[in-house]
Amino acid sequence: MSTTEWRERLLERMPPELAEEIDIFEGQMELRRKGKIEDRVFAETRLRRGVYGQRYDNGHRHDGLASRELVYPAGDLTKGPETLWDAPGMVRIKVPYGGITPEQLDVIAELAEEYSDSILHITTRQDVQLHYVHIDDTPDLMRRLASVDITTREACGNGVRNLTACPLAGVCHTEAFDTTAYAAALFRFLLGHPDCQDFGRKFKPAFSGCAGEACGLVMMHDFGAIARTSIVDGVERRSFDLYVGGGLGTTPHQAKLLYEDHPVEELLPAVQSIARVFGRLGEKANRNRARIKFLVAKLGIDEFRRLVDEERKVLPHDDRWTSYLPSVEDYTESPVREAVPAPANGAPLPDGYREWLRTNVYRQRQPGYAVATVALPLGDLSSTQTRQLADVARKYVGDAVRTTVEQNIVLRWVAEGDLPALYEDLVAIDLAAPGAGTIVDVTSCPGTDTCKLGIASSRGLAGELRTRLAAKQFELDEAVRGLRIKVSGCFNSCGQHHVADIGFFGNSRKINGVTVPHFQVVLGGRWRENAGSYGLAIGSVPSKRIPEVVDAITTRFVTEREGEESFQDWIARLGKKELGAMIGELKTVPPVDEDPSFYTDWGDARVFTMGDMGIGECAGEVISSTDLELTMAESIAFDAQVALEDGDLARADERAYAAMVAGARALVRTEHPNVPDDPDTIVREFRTRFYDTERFFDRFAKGRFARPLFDRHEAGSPAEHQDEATRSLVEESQLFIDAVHAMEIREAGAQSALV
Amino acid sequence: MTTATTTDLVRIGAKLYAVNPEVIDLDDVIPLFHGWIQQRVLDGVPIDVADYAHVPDGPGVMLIGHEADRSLDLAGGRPGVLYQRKRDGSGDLPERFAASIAAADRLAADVEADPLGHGVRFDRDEILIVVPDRLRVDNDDAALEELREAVTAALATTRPGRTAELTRVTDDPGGPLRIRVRLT
Repeated sequence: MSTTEWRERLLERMPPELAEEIDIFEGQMELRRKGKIEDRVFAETRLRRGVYGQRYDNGHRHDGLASRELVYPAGDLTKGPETLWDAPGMVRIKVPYGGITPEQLDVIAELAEEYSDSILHITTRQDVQLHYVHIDDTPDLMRRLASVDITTREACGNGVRNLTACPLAGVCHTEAFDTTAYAAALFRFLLGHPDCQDFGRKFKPAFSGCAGEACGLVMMHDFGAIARTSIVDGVERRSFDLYVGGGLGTTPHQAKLLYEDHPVEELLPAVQSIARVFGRLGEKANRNRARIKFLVAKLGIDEFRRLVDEERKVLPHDDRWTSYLPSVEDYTESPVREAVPAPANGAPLPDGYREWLRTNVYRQRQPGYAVATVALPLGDLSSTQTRQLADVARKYVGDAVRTTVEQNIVLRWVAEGDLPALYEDLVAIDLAAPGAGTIVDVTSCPGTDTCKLGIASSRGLAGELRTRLAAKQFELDEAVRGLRIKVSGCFNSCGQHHVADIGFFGNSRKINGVTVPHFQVVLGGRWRENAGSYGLAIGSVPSKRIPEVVDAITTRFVTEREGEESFQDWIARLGKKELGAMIGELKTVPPVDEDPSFYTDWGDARVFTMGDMGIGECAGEVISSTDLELTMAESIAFDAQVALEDGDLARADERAYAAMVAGARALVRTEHPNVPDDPDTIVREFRTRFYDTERFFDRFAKGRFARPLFDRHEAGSPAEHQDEATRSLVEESQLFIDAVHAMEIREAGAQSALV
Repeated sequence: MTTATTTDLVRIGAKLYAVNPEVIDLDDVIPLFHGWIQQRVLDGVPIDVADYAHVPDGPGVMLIGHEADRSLDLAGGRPGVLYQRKRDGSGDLPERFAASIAAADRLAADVEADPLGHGVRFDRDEILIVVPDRLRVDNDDAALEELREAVTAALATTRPGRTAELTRVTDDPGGPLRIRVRLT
């Protein structure tokens, strides 16, 4: 058997724009290998394609005795500052609002087997991550995703990240209305939007169907929309309360109400206006202060609102703001099975079914249907399980599958009569663990397993807690069973510890001159009300004593709880001093010769060290959108050269012209951010702004480097491609891009001379 | 246009099953693998240890490397050692199959020899060959026939004088091509 490469094999199945983006990225990789793209620029380029660094990618790893060098075949070639080309990395796959189909699951399972470690990891923002991926494999990985309409674009980097939403949207009892179609429209609108390319940091949006439940956790997001309805002239009217400036991290902020009762038709322009304000005024130099929460705090919500209002007034109209609305009302998910009633009382049921039913099944507002949660240990499932789960989904619910922020997967629209059979099918593939959404269902970020920023082993601790709690889950008091535990490997809150009843984040302490892994204990965060309030940090405890902390807190809560008092109210009643005293005894660390286990972390045999931490890439690199666009133009020009070498003159001609247009557009957008994406306008604007004014002119060559663009644009594609003429155009396209760079440098120099 | 063929196959894995899996303690496999990295006893570039023991019938505990992953693998409900080549294969196709089988043999011997293996033994008379490369190899009988000659040649060097029966494992049609080798 022989096949073509993935690119050719999948060409007809990929959306053309995605296919081209991936080709461009592959070209950028080749340019980086040749040293023709700056390290920092390439780092942000790959981040915006979802290609992320991993622990040890600086080429050093502490093996328990000393830090050793990892010597890779590609040597010193890097894919970002201090990030070796050959070092494995993570690929983050965007799953907007968590919606994923069996076909998509099948493809991701294949990718996990071929390029990763056969594990799919569901994140706390409904993404899927694959770890230990070599960058050389990423273009094909992306193509295979694109063939089932998935993108990794802007899954990382300083852009709009995955859009999260309640996995029960459309089927839950408390929502105002189903936000799915709005979320999907906003996701499509923001993906690659020019107004979202110049942020100093990431921007995370979320949707919620109601204010009272946890849903989309709007209050901890950069932007969030909570659905509401009102009756106007006897007709139900949909709207959103829009929030901005929430975030966790080292300094958690609750989001502020930007607009109340905002019309749905104004949703997209409102977010675009917010993005423009953030892009223009957000911090760029100090990335620790660059999230939108700092801008909102600095300006105050009223001034921020005024700026957004002003921006809205000058936004050029975009048909996409409302073109999706007519189809919103029609959006429905159809069950694949007829509603049949649940088994009658007394009917024989599979072992373990009742407990699973109690914790993992939510009865939809549509009679006869339910949502079943597949609880995943640490958010992981194997590629084989993924395929099996995809088959189970096809059988019972079709495409009605979503990932959740608690790192699980839900099957929606299960006919209640099918629940016992579904349970048995899940048992057969080891995905029928009970306890979803309970204290057993511990959430964790990747931590020191793979993250460069991890301090302590969040997954190791979460796994240990899960094992211990699962063993006694049926004996736990009901008040304790309903609590949530969330663990982060550092203060950056990827495990969302701030909004857990019991949260932990990794840190370390020097004890007798030796570094010991610890976790800060954070109590009383509110999961409900869209992450309505953040927990209280009460002290740092050695990692190996955290299970005792959980025992102490839960035991005391059961003992001291007054009536139906919530955990949050109990924490508030006890106060920080009393809570600190409760864990005080657990802070001690025995000498290393008495108990060396304290000096290693959960699931890691090595003596604990902080030496493996690296520079995190979640903040991305602050690169101007002009630089990124020029990098893309370079890649298109490179593609033209490859086509020329292959003898494909038509493609070489088209690519060379496209590269020049992309270079011109990069320049035009520095002054005219909203320039339409058509060559006529771009070339006209370029001529007016830069050629006619002679700003583009080189001291010696004058405007000569722009002529090939004008000539090719005016003449159009030749009827017959001549080798010499095509070769010349390909060369000229590179010269044109060089001239754009030169102009940038000239003008930057002129600017700095003025300062 | 570039054409990928089976002769380009690099992603070739070989698994040997534990005869007495009940003695395996995955918690001890973690320090075992860390120790190998520390002692620098492995070929290639070993990178880190990944613990997936919590995933039923999953990859178990893995020693991630640049060229290849080694693992105490739980897939299929049958624990064993798996050597999975990922890149930088050399030699012709039979030599690449042979290299993966030989690496699995060494992996098995090393685990058997270590106290942290708790006396586990691996069967050399049954080999699972895994080829996770859907670009070059489909999971069908035709692919088995296409690879039969190369696998047989590899067995001639790694299991000389033995008779091999090759069958395709069909319990996971969506999975990668897997060939079960039984030697007599």
